[in-house]
Amino acid sequence: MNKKLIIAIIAFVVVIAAVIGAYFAFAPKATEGSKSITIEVIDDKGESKKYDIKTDALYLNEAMDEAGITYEAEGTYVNTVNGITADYDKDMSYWAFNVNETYCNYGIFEQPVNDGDSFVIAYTVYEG
Amino acid sequence: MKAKKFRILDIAVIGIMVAILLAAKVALDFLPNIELVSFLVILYGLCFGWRVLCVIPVFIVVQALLYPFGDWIIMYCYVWWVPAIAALIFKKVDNVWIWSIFSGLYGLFFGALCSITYFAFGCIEGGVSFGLSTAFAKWISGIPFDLTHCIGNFAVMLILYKPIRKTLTSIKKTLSL
Repeated sequence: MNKKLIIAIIAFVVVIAAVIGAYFAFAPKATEGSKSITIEVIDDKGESKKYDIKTDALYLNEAMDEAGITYEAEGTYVNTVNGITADYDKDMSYWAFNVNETYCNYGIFEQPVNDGDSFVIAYTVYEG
Repeated sequence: MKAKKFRILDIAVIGIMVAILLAAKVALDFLPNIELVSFLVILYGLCFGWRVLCVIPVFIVVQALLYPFGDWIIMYCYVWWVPAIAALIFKKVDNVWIWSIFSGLYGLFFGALCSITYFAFGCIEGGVSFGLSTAFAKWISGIPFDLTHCIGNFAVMLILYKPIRKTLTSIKKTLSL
């Protein structure tokens, strides 16, 4: 193995390490401890149900479990909430997740829960 | 320079390349981020040259017909060109380690490439800064998957590069391509 190749392999390992470092530096971090949060679920008929809970959950899926909100997910994609399924292939409907009036950038298993957070889970139909 | 003719044989070869690509994609669909598509695209580029540029659009169209519509179609429209063009540019490089490192890096930054789409969506929805933050968040959250992709791509290239390159080169000679 020549010198250039060894340098290339070392550089490859360094790049991998840098990416792992970026993940640990910037991945969403959840806070522990008792937190007061609100989760509002708006179903396919536009009816709203609010859940005010005190929780130690780190991530949204745990808070949903504690609130008694049922869901089904394919990987990170949630297709069913409280027994209501949104089928994007059928009618372009989906469950939209917002936190503090901003679209959640992470799936429910990675979305951190912080004190005072207000989540809205809304059945939404894409209208183009 | 004499222009090369596009022969019926080329069409047949391109069809077979697409079929193999699809079969490889479907066969490994159950393993998240372990795939043979990057490997095959690189090898196609190295062994069959320009024909890989015809394989990719057909592959994307067939994928779009087979799978439900989603953001992934936009990403597929550009991500597979990266290994194909790299293989065409560095066609003379015949080193298993170099291609393994390239393939590994491609897997490692696959999520970053895909997040370009989220950057565009974010820009449309809330301006450049929202686009950047959305793309960055998407990239960061996908890094564990990218690492699997990186290791998978690296290992596949390291193991399969020599036998498959030898086989494809032999096929190319037999068919006088």
